[in-house]
Amino acid sequence: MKAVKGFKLRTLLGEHIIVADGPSQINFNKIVMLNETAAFIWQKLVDFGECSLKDLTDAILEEYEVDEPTASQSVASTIDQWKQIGLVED
Amino acid sequence: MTNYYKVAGHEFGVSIPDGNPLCGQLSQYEPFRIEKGENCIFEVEVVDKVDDPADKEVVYAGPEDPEQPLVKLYKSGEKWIYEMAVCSGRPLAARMESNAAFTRGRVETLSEKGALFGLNNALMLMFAFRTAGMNTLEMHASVIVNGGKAFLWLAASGTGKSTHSKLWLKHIPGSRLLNDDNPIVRIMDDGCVEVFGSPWSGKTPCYRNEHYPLGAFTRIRRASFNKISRLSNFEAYALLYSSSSGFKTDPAMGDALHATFEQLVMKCPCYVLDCLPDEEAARVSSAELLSIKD
Repeated sequence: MKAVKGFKLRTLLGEHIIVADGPSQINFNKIVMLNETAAFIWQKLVDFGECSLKDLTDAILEEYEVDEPTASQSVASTIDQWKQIGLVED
Repeated sequence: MTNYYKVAGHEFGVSIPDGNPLCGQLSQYEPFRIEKGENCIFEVEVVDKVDDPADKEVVYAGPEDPEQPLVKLYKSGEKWIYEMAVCSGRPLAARMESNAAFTRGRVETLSEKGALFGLNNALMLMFAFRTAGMNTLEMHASVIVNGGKAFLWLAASGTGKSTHSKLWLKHIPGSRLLNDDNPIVRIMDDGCVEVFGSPWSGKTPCYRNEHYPLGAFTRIRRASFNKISRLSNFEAYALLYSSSSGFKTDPAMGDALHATFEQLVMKCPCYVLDCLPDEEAARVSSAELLSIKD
């Protein structure tokens, strides 16, 4: 899977948000707020280009002190939400 | 003929060949005319021909709505090309090319009837793009002044911005219309937020060269009742984001606009008004907005 083109991660008043900056997302009228972990996942998703749930889970395990089931659960639910609103595609 | 104008403190020049019918159609710009442009941030020239390069790439194409002007933005090498029609399905009214920095534009009008429409849109685009990095926003809003402060109504076209302004003019004493479609909001060097009238005001001829401190931004939303509520900072950001001209896809412009939105969100009261098009709506909004303390 990969991040859909046309979105940008920004910081607003110290919080992470994703806004639709690209012309391909002209009809995307939402602003998505992210917690620290979600912002990290998004950044990895963009850095990796094309990647799997496992790649993202491994990245989390390297960065944060969490166990594997928690990390993989967190990645799976975040990616699932993003797919639903059109931020991520297969 | 070259005329100079000053809008929201920014000077620009417009050159039109003598004898071109546009020379006699610029009355909406007259309140903003200055003798000499010493610090012009851009100049636009009406010319006979603007090339339509074969290699142009679409970077933005507006929605094809028969009720709305159609705009298309292209890039050709370093140059930007901008085409506009009064609405989709109609022939092009004008084509403009601009340098990368939006300091020089050349406009060809393609129909006599659409010439002023074309020039207006070309100037609005140059203004919005050129001033994006200058803490300046060209906004899609109707603005009422009351008690020395400017109150902006924001919403998509056709929701009821102008209608709400009319309700204030009729029912709330001391109200004046500053602009009905494209006011300019600027964070001044001293940090104050000022709202300026402009030569662009949609279908309502209201071209006032005046400015007032910002009172509040209010999103208008149709409802079956009247209620006004404060927006969170994030909701306010989303409101300003969707109500401002400028081209967020361009990285430099996107960053500059983001910085301006962030400052405004911290400085300015932002609301949403759920409303009917009736007198009570103006009573409800004015009761809250006119009692905001500095």
